[in-house]
Amino acid sequence: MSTYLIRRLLYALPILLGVNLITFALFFVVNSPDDMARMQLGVKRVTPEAIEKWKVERGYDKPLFWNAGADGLARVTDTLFVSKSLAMFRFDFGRADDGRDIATEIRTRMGPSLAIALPTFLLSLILTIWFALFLVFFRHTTLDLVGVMLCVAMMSVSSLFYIIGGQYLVSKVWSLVPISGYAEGLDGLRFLVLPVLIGVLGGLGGGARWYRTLFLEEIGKDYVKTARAKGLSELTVLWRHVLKNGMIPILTGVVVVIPTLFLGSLLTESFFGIPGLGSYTIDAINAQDFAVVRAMVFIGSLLYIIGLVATDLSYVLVDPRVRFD
Amino acid sequence: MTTAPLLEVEGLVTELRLAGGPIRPVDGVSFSLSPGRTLALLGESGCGKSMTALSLMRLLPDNGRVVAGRVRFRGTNLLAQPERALRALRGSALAMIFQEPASSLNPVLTIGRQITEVLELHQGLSGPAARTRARALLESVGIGAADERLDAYPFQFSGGMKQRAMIAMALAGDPALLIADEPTTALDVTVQAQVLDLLSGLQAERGMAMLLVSHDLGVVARMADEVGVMYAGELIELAPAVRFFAGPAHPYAQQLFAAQPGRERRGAPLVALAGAVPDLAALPTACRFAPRCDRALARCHVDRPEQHLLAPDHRVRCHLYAPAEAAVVIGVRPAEREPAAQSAPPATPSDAPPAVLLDVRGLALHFPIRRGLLRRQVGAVRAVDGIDLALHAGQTLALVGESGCGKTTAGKAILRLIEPTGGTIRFDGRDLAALPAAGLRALRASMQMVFQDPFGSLNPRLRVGEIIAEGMSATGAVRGAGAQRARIGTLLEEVGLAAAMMDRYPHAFSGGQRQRIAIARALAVAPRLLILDEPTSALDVSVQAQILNLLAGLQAERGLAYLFITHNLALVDYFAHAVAVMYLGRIVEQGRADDILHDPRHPYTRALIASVPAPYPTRPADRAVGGEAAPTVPAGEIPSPASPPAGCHFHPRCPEALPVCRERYPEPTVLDDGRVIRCHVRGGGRGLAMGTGSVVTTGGTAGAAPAT
Amino acid sequence: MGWQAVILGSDLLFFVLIALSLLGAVWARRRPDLVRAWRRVAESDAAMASMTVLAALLVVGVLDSLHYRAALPGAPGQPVMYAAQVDSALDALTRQLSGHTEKTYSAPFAAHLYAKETIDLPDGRQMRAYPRLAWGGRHLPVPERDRPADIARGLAAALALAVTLSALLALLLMRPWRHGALARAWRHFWRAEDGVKWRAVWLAASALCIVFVPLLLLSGDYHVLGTDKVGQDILYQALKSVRTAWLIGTLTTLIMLPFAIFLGIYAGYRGGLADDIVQYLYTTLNSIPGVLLIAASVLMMQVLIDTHPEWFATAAERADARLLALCAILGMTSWTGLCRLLRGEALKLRELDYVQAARAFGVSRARILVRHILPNVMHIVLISIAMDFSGLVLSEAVLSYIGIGVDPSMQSFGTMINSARMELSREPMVWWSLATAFVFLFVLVLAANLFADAVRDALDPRLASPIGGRA
Repeated sequence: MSTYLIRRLLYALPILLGVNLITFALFFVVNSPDDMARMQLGVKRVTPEAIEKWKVERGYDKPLFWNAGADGLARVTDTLFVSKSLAMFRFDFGRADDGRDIATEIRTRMGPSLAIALPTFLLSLILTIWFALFLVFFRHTTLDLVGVMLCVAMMSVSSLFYIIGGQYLVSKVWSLVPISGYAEGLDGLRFLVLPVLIGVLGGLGGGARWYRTLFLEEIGKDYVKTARAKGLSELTVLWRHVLKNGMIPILTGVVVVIPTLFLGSLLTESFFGIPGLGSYTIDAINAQDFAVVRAMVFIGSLLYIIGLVATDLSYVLVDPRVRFD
Repeated sequence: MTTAPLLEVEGLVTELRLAGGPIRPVDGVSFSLSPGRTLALLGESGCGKSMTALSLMRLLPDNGRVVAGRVRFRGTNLLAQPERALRALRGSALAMIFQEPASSLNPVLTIGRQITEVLELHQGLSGPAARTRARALLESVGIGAADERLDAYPFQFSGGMKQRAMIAMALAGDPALLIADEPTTALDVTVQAQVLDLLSGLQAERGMAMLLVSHDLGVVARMADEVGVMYAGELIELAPAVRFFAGPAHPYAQQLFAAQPGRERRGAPLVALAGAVPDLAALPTACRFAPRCDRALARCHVDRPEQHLLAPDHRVRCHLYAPAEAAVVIGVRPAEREPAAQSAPPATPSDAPPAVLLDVRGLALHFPIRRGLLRRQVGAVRAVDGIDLALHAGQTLALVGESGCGKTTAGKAILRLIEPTGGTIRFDGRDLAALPAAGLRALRASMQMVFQDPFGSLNPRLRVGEIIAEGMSATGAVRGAGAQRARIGTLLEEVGLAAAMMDRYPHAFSGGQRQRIAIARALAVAPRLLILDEPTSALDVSVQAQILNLLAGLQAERGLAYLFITHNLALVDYFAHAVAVMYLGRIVEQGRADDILHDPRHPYTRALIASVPAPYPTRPADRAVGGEAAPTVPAGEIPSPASPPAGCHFHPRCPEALPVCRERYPEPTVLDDGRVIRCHVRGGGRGLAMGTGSVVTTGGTAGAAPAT
Repeated sequence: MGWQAVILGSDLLFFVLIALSLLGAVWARRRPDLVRAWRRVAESDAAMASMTVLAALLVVGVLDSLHYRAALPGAPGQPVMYAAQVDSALDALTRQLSGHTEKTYSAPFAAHLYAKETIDLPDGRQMRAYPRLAWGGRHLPVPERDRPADIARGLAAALALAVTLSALLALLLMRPWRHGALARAWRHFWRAEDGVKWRAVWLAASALCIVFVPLLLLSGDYHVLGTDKVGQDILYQALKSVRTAWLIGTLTTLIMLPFAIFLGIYAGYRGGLADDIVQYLYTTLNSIPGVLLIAASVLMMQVLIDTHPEWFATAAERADARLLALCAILGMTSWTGLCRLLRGEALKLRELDYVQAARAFGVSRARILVRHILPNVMHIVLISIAMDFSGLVLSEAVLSYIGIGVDPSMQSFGTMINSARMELSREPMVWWSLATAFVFLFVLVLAANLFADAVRDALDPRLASPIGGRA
């Protein structure tokens, strides 16, 4: 079992390296730093000197992989790939266009992102599973049919409308909570309620329908027939037997996103003015701040890969077949 | 019957709602069952026997419901009870075990938890008391080290142990009636014998009534006090077991017996029922069996037959037993009936067998086991571990063994569908390993395979004609579309189908017809050898007989050689000229079928034969093999091929094991009648090690073909 | 007036896709197994109704993909010059929408602007008032008095037309000439005795008629759904957005499909090193959170397009290139899921006996992949195309909102929502453009979801409910 986990961990390394290479290719090979400079400084009236200055300021004035002008090891290290891409493994992301250190910025913005994303995630998981089990309990009845139709309708609404509608109704018409903003501590709670609720509602339809399918698949299995033949009530069968087996496929989709909760949600944070990583990313995209976007891609992949490893770990916890293998 | 019935079923009708409209898998079934007795419901797939069992407990699938009838259990009608009252009975007074022990246990709960939840619910036990009781239950079904096993998960149990755990779970509520739905169908024959012994022991001990659902005449004969035969949703015959096995009354039941392969029918074609079980969505309105019945009267196609009493306890639903007809037919026994003349019988082996067509020596196939951080190979599963086979032209060699013994892998390795790890394969004198690619193509045309699962062996997206043409094009056996079509038409007719069927898709065909198509596909390249991998094990016995007759006919006409891979000894007895018995990757006994099946020497062969329940009621003690004391059913189950026991693989289960058996694997010995056996007890002393090759310690590849 | 056909890259791909689907349908008609599967789709009311809605929206999308440049009026004898503006057949058919531009916001059916302006009175004085619209209700002498009656008249006429159309359609679908009596034809039609739920088609089409016939008939005289900040008709914007949604939803899949299918089944069937490489490839791509990868790629694509203005002759071409690039980027990030599914399926199929039988005949690997593996995974491909469609349409809206979607000059539901979002905080509120975007997007995605459900149930019976034919 431990060799299994170590293997999975080791497997993560080449993937991370692959991500790093892809990002590098995307940011430095598709467009040369000259192109980016021209773009940032305005395509028309730009002098070669201005481009050169822009590159030097950001440390982009190096060759991609091989610095023929340098000596010894520096031929390899004094390149864009090592100084910009591999450096990210040290969490050295450089500076944003506004001069701030990206790593510091990311650290301070993780908190607000998590404050929204974590409650959304937990509440959403509980509610979705509950709703799916509810539908499964009433399977093939009108209630189930209506529930499924509701799910399909809910997943047909763009998440933009959940946010816009929620802000309009709850904040503007009913004036229950502030329309946007963020504060630390308990005081900030009133800012969190609406984004969390909207996040939960937005994912409920698709999630519940998917879980319902999973549970229905489990319900058709022989061990459920055995459980019923024991005289267990339908609710016990669902809670004790079906839920635990259905959790295995659910975990695959769920555990992997837990680490990425740090990234926050781009939409929610931008609509509600949360100073998290999501809004940081959006701002960077709009300002075409390549260094920040690159850093976020790397951090996002790192978190996702941690999620993959955590998924493997979670199998060990729920599935005895993996635990004892 | 002196006691009052425990269970009375009257006119039970169950309906399933399907997309194409409702069907009735159970249609007017009535029977009763007294405490301590066993009633077996016998029938082929789709006859409604399982659905009957589920209806009694009201455990039907979501789209099913009981639409008529009464099920009286201890006097109360279960069908009128509210769900809550029925739940109190399920798992306590009424318990049920299912066919697939592998999937019938919850994979993520411990065995202990799955037993104690019954004790909590029905016995009010909890905590240590429940655990103690659960341990006692596991011990009572013959599971050792019960305390540790309580904390194990189902995947840590072998198939037989899972079924034992299921039985323990069923016993936890102290049932008065145990419903066993094909309880041993998924198990190997030696394990089946153990589980059947266990069930009858427990029944005697506890005075339980048992409703056994089975398709296997042998299992029914072994277990039942009374037999009910089901066909297309109806109970067509109900009789005490002794009466039934002495002479079944319904033509269908009679033909079931006649379709059983076995020694007594060797050399003659089996009586095969024409056609297949009717589709429940389109049932004949009169007698449901009439279209397949060879004794159908005119009225059989018009009126639905009533039940007629042949004796107070013997009912049959057939017009032949209507008072007007009865005098003519009663008392006809299946054995006395002349089988319809069909195809030629398999030739009996003559004293001088023809030339060796396939000569396999030291064939080995090892799958590496990789472990650890770097996935280094730490060992190998020796799926096939140095086997020698010799198959003569025009004859049948049966490769027999239980699941996991490597017989299918061996078949695929001979065809090079999986590359063998070692050994030589000579076909018609040529060494296949030395053949260049072009030669291998020629080989593809002379050796072909027929697979077990008729539903997985035909590509659903291709027409039958395209399926059969594939081999002709690939091997270049028949070229040109016109020539191919003509040949396909002939082939289809040869296997008993119509030439026009070549433009249809596989879904239009039944299991038996699909197997015919698979045979036609193999024949399309005019092979001389067919590897038949359990070709009938997925089929009902009546359809199996059709396929066996077809295969026998083809062998006689075309001089085909068959390598017949099977677990079914009755088939071997009926069909094969020579037998090789395989256990954990090695052949333990090999020789002429007649010699080996009727005078088995190797303890494993003897155990295997002793485990097969005969299709007539007997006690195991009555059966003697080869004039010696009857061997007992072997204990335990087949170990994992990844870690076979040291020495002789069979020694942990062998009743006759000597100390030497624990130390080294016995070398092959040739006995007087030409058979080769690998056993210290029964072979070692008498024969001499044969084989020109060296005696190798690891592979055991010393080869010896059956003496010619 | 002369015109010159313009075929944009996306048009070409879209038509290729439609042609492929038609060819596929013709081919499938000869395959009884496929006919049976699709009949199960036809047995579902929800599927047939959503298919009708989708078909109507597809017609809009196709009309909007027939592009041309109008000839400019010039002196005879001189070479004809064509306008720089690329129009579509839809533009030509809805001149009353595209041409009737107001100054700024106006409410649905309004005759006046939504904001007060300073108006010069004939006597030279100025006053603050709601000015009359340039087009909306301009035929009314006194809008305050005449408007309700005029609208009611128009509505009545339009509804009469809609009902007539609906009745004609019913007659067409019932085919009374086949059944003799009308009553029998009706029974056959309503009970779907041939197994095809034509009644759902009819009901959906009638609903569309009742909504759209009045909207379109009255749109000549009014802005039936209002206008936006720059005075453009909202109905026109919504209709133009339909094409973008179709392209994003279908071309993305088309672009990624060859990769996903080939790599998936090859890796699954071949195993070994090839399998390892493919798995590494999709795990790596999958590890980058989708939105971030899309954001990074779109940013880079923008740089590429902006620094090479010389590549594009017209603005339409540039917007089109950007759309195609977006499809490609979305495709690159989403092919991994399908690839993994197909790999798993091929891994299972590889062990099936019919594949083993083919190997026993020495059939080549390529032939086995094409004859035995591919046809038996196609249902997964179709299901995933259908299921992905709605997700892609929705993600276009989000991406365009974030600013990494389609070109801002291109109409799409995302750009509509984006520009309408700020209007909610206006006093009084401008609700109509957001509401229109919501309804159109919801109907399109709902129809796609329902249809995809039916396709999945029909093609993959494993997942279907045991009763079957559930709506």
